Amino acid sequence: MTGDELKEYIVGHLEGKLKPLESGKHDPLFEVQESDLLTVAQVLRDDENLKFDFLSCISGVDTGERFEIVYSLASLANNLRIDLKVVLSREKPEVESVQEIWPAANWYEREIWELYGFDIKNHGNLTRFLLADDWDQGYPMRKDWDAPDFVRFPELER
Amino acid sequence: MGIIKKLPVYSEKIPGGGLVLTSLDAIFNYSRACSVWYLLFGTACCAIELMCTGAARYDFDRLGMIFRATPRQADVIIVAGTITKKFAPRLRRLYDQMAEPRYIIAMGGCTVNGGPFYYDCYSVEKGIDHIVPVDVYIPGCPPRPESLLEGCLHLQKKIKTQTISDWQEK
Amino acid sequence: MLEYLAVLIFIVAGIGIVLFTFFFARLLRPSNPYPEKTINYECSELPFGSSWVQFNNRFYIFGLIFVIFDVEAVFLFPWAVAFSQLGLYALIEMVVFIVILFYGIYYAWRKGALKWV
Repeated sequence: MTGDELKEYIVGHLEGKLKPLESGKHDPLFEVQESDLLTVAQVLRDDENLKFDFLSCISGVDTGERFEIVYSLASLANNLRIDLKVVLSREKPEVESVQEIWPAANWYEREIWELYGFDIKNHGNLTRFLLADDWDQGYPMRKDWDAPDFVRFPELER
Repeated sequence: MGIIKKLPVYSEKIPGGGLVLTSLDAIFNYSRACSVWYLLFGTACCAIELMCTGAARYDFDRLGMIFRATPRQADVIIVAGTITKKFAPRLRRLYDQMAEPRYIIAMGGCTVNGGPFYYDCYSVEKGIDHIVPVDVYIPGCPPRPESLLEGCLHLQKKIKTQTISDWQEK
Repeated sequence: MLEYLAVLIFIVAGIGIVLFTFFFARLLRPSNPYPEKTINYECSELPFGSSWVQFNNRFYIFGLIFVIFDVEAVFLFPWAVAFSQLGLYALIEMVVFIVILFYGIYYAWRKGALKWV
């Protein structure tokens, strides 16, 4: 399926839950509400024409004003790729774990919990594993994080 | 153990004793400098250059430098690669497990002061001299094998300037 | 009896040279043990768990076969030394002995006891 056909198919099958966005990239990008995430993920994985059974990556995004999580999915049987974006609030970022649907999400969710501080519900093993053993300096990937030895690249005068 | 520690003191009292000491120093330093065994240690890209320097074209073995797998048999750790904050206590442990006289060569920009990870990085230890005492710094990203060999020659020069009392307790 | 004097000198010199190098090295080397230095080496991690592991029993099999053939070699040595004074009878007898033990190792070989994996 081409990109546009894929968009129409997905939007048709998940009425109202997904919203296609324009991204500059080749793969279609959809936005979904946090409360619909699990149902949408289930349909994406189980539908015969879609079969997104491969979770490529879960990325956390801090745009300065809001938090987002992007799930990069791929279908090996049908040769398709899409991105799924969930927008979270800045005060209380929390999302359901999708590891029931894609078991690979286990470590990805641990990573975004550790580096961003997103609360992943029903995960079962949110422990620190990437940062140093005695890390006590917060969530480093947030845009407003700072530490005594963190040096920002200086703005150059042109 | 007691005799060799007091040797400098005694030899000063004997006329011509200093000559014995410097000859002893010269012999020991020459033998130590020509067989500096390095620990097989590499974390990142500089490790590839280390392996390349140990291979055929730029040989380490011609300087007497053989790799050892355990710090107990090694004289020097050539810290090749980025050292993150997570790895820092482990590097310190490796250094502690070496036997005196022991040396550290900081290879590559990351070990000198954080290198390319000096700006905008939360996890890299900006320079291993916060963790272990460094004897030779080799800048470069990664340093060419010729640079690494020159760094090892600098270490040999440093070893040749030491005396017996230097490497008793360090 | 005097021929054995050479053997005695050999033994004493061998042990003496080794002891001398150890003693001399002990004079020269620095000794500075502190707790972080003397922990077990575990690739820069703190050691955990027990270091007593269960040996695989292929080591036992190889040790057993080695002992048997070592004893055979012990029997072969005096026979070889006195070979020129013994007759044909001794040769045939020793060949029979070796063949009997050879059947033992052939059995072990075919049973797969000599495979390391």
